[in-house]
Amino acid sequence: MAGLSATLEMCRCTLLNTQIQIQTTSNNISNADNETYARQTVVMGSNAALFGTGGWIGTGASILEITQNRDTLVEQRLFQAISGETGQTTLYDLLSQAQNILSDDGTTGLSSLLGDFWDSWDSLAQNASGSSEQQEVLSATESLANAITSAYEQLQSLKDSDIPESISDDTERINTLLSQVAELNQQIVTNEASGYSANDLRDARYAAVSELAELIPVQYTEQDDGSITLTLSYGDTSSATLVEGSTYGEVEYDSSTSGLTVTQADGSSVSVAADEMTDGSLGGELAAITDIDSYMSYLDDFAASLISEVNSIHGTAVFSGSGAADIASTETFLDSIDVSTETGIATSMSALQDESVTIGSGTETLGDYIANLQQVVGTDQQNASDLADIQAALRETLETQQQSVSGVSVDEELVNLITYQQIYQAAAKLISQTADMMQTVIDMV
Amino acid sequence: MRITLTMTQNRMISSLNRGAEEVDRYTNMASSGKSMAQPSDDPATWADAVDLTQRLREMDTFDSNLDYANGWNSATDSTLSEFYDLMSQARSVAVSVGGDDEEARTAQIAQLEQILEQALNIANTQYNGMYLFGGVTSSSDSEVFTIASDGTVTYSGNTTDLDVRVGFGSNETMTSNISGEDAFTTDYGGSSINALEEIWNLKNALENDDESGITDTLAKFDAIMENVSAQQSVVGARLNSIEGRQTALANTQISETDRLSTMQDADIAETYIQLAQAQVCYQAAMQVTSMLNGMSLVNYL
Repeated sequence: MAGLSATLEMCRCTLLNTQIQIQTTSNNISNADNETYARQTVVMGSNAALFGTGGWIGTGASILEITQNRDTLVEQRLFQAISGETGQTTLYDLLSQAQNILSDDGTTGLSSLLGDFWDSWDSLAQNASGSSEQQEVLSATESLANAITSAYEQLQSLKDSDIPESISDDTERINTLLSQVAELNQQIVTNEASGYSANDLRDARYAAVSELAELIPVQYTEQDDGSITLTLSYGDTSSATLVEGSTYGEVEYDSSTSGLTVTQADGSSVSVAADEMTDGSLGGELAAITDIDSYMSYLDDFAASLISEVNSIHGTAVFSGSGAADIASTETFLDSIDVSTETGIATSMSALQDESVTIGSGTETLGDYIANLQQVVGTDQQNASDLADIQAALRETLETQQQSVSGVSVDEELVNLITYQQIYQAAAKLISQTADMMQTVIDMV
Repeated sequence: MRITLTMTQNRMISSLNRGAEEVDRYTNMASSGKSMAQPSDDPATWADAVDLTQRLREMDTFDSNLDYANGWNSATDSTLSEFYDLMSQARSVAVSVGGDDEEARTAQIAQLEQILEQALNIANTQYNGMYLFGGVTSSSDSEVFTIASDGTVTYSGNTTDLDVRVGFGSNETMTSNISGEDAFTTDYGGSSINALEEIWNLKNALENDDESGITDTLAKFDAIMENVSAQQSVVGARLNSIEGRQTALANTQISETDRLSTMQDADIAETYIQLAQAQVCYQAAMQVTSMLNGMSLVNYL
């Protein structure tokens, strides 16, 4: 009865094996909509054969291990695309806010207020002693000065308080994730000492790195013991090690340089300048600070030139202040005017709008200069949006590739289920048949 | 390639998003009539449009300045005509002086007095908050022409030109006024004479029955009236130039407005066609989504 007992034993194993296979299938189906989950497969292997009558006789199959399906190369490229896309999307969103502040289509915004300012001097040239004409000049001057300072202040608060706030939220989250990755590294190393893949811990680590990629551009390399080394790449070729084994570093924002101070896993620290990192939402925020800063100095140059040109034409100062932050109307410049000279001044003032003047490092008319700010802002935003589109397309492609390897296909799982079910039924049938045969043997006695 | 659940889900979501985005874009274009909603849609064109809008604004100002110069010069022209008529009226009064008819002389003197008063009024005409012949002098200041009891005329205005801008560039200005000095003072035999003063002199000569004084003054009247005509032709030339400039400006404005419209406005027909296409794509994406939902092996087990 040795053969029959062996058969019974094999069937018992098969019943147990198929249950684990079905359990794995069910686990796959449960996680079908989880993007950070990697599909698991039960790897089967044949048992060692026994030498008997007629040679080597098979002894059934058993489960070797449960593996997960990952393509590390695709995953690394996917993280890069994720960082690239979130960086540009963040930059685009922040620049949209700057654009709203500077919104100007020629009929509303700074250009039109500047136009009103010129027009008011034309009215004054027609009747310099008229009180309504004078009032028009005074209010146009005040509106223009107010609009410049208000735009400047809003940009400043965006740059100095709103964005740094998001940055500090981001760095806080980054630092939490870095410690999580280090913790998971340690657990994975411990759990895999048995030789079996710690699938669920790996999934959790993948989820953490994937979230990190949205915040900063990270790269990883897997070590032999199963832990990963996380590095931050910045500048052209530089990189900083953020996590190594169970040790991890820290990322801090340095408001004095508008850059980052990165403490590496080994405790040493490096500085990352604002223009050295554009990927990840943190990179997008740093890039936005650099851009907004340039708009502010653009406005500042405009205001400085406006103040000096206008005041040099008008004997008594029209504007007080030295730049966009403090430009204001003196309000008293029409108080004791000589009507006959003011008329000439008013005409020259209106003529200033067509004259090229020194602004910043170039020469241009004041109106052209402020209209060009629209082009500068628009181009920055357009670049961000174009790059975001490219990175999004890349991300989509890579995500598809990644999911093609690691994702769960419900149909596939169902087909597997049918297979396992049939194997289970067959094994069960074998047991009852073998039992009958054993009964037959017993009855013979 | 393995097609997995999340893959199909992500694809469906992104194609639905794309479809909705396109429909939204063209709906905005169709409803606003503008091809650009923000500078980033086309930064260079946007900046050009801002610039052109301001150029058109400046042209509107030139137009209003030309209207203003036109008003001033027309007022100057008609006032000078009036003055010219008064002068010839005064001259005809002086020419008709004859005989010893005391009564007629008194009437003539009275007439000249009235003419002098009218002439003084004309010289002090106010226009748009200023004295018409005061250079650039506010009408709230005291009158620019005053005549003393000895007939001395004092001009308290100035000779400043009232210039307004009528074209791009700092030299493109149009003078609106003629100063009191230019209008009523002229050179006669090397010395400068004033029209109002001469009317007073004529009246004075008549009062004193000074024959030679009357003859002298009448000779000066010719020079004065010639000067008034000359000033009128200056004004006439300005009025011609203003008309020419306004016509040219109107033409430029039309072509520039047209250019602005090409930059900013959406091509309505094209936009509607694109909107219709976007809608078809969006509907197709929705249709496919609902079809995919029914596709599962579960249905056949």
